[in-house]
Formats: sequence, structure tokens, C-alpha cells
Amino acid sequence: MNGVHDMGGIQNMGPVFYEKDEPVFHAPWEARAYALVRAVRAWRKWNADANRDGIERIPPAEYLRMSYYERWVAALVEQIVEHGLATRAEVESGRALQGSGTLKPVLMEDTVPAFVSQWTTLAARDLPVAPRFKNGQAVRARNIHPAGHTRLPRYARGKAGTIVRDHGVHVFPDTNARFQGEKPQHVYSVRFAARELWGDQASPHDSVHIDLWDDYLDHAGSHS
Amino acid sequence: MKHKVGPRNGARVVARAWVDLEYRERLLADGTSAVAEFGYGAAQGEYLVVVENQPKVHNLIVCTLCSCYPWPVLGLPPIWYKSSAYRSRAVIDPRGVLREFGLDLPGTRKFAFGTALLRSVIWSYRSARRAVRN
Repeated sequence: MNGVHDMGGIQNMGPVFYEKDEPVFHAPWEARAYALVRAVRAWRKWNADANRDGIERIPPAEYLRMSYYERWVAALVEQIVEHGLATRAEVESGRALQGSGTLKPVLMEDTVPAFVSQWTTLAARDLPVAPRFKNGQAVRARNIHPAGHTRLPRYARGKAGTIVRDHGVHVFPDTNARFQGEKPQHVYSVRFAARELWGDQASPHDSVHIDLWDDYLDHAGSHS
Repeated sequence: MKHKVGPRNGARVVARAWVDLEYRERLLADGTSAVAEFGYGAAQGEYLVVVENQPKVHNLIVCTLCSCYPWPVLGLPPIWYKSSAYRSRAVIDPRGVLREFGLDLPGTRKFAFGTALLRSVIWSYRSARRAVRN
């Protein structure tokens, strides 16, 4: 989705503020939000790509207004409702409706560490999928604009680069996010000269390496 | 997350790489396995790539699309890393962003890594060079 989350290259976001001795959480509610998301995710009702997709579906003005953990909570609420873990009325009232079900296992204080540590977002797959490209090969990122989740940033589309590392086989976020299959395929680190991306204003010495999936790439010279 | 996971984990990994050249090679070749030797891994560290700063190469890691970060070795991402300013500007103006951190690198080659599924870690090459000479 060509959403506001795809921020690479936007220029009016102001300076970068560095907070010295920053605490892990800035308020108790942030720690609660973090814990809540990790606890619910441990039931594995949706995958990591669906989780990112949920955050990207926050309307742009809201997305920019919200802090990181506010986005987590907003996306969590929508996904809890979408996946039937609770109704919107239950979320708003903070109370379970009479007769609503209980998720198993019930999460208790002493079972939290074991239960939550099961949550991983492992996307690598040990499958004999052939790579379409090899190291050193010239490629071009496809000029595609998927309406759903994608990890192909807008600023790289249509640009020419070089494969510098094969990261092996991983699930394809675009389909996995919408539960349309894992479509496992090779992911590569692709080097783009900064000038290919940004023109002459960029330093001729700089480059950007982007992790890109097979389905995002064409052989150099072809246009899609 | 507040007490067991944080940048000290990553510091231990890097410190070992400074003094143990075989470990350094393993770390650069397969970051995930080398970091797992310390028992660090799991959520947001399932696939780690470690890159090395060198005298003329400075690496800058950014996730422009969300805020991917190697939790098991560096902890939860700091505010600046998650900010719109950093996510938008790191790829188009890496030198300007670094200047705001007080780091001016004229004449240095720079690679900005846009992370996606991968969580990357940077460590300094200079100390490793000292280890080589020792």
C-alpha cells in the first residue's frame, strides 16, 4: 500500500531528536501495551506480516499523530475484533459479554514467561526453492504498487541495483500478511547507488542496501 | 524486556568479536548462529546480519517501513530510531542525520541499510583492527 508508513525519502519530518539515557518505557501504559501485544500474539491468531499490515492500515493522519505504542494498541484492537477474540463493544466497555468464550490456554502470571517466549516471527523456511538471481547480478526493482502489505519501498521501485547477498528462503510478506499463503522465496540484499535513487544531490560514494524478495525483482534491462 | 534484554547483550557479542578473530568471522558470516552462542535470540532476532564499520565505510541501519530492530541484542528500539524524522531521512540524507548525532564523516563511504525481515547490527571495525595488530 502506498501509505504514509512508507517514509523513505520524505524530507519535512524535522530533525532527529536523541534522548540521552532513554528509559525502556516512557510510561507504565507503554509497558502494558507491549505486554498486551506479546501476550495476544502468543496465541498465534495472526502472523508478523499481518501485524505490520494492521499498523499500516491505520489512517495516515492518525498514524502520524500516534506514538509507536499507540499504533500497537490501535492495530491490536482492530485485529482482536477482526479475528473474533472480542467484539468492539467488549473492547470499548472493557468487559466480556455474557456467554463469550475463553481462549485456551488461559494466561496466568506464572505461565507468562514460557507462553510468551513461544512467540517468534521466524520467517526463514528450510525449503529447496531455487533462487532467481545470484550475487553480483544486475537487477531492477519492479514498478508495482500493491494495494496490500509489501516490503518493497516506494523509493526503490523501478530502480536498478545489484544483488550483494542471498539471505536464503523466507515467507513472502505480501501474501502472508493477508493469509494467502507463505509463497516462500529467496530474499536478497540489493545494493542501490544513492545517485540511482536520489539523483545528483546524493554522494557518489553512498549506497542503500535493501532486503528484497524474488517477486520484487526483474533482471536488469527489463521494465515492468 | 526491561531487565534481561538490552544493548549490553550486543556489547558482549561485539567485545568478544574484538578479541576472538574466529568468532568475528563467524559473526560476520552467520550473525544469527554466532549471537545464539551467547543464548540470545527469539523474537525479533530470528535472522540477524552483522555488518562491520571500517575506516572508510560507515554503516547506518534504518527500517523505513516500520521499526525493525534486533531486540535480543540491542533491546527495544529507542525513540529516535522509531521517529518519522529518522525513518524518512536516513536513506536520502544519511550524512545530515549523522551530523545531528554529532558525527561528521567527510570523505567516508557510507552504506545505509534498509532493513525489512532482517535485523542488522553494526559494530566498530577499529577495535578489531587493534586486536589484529596485538
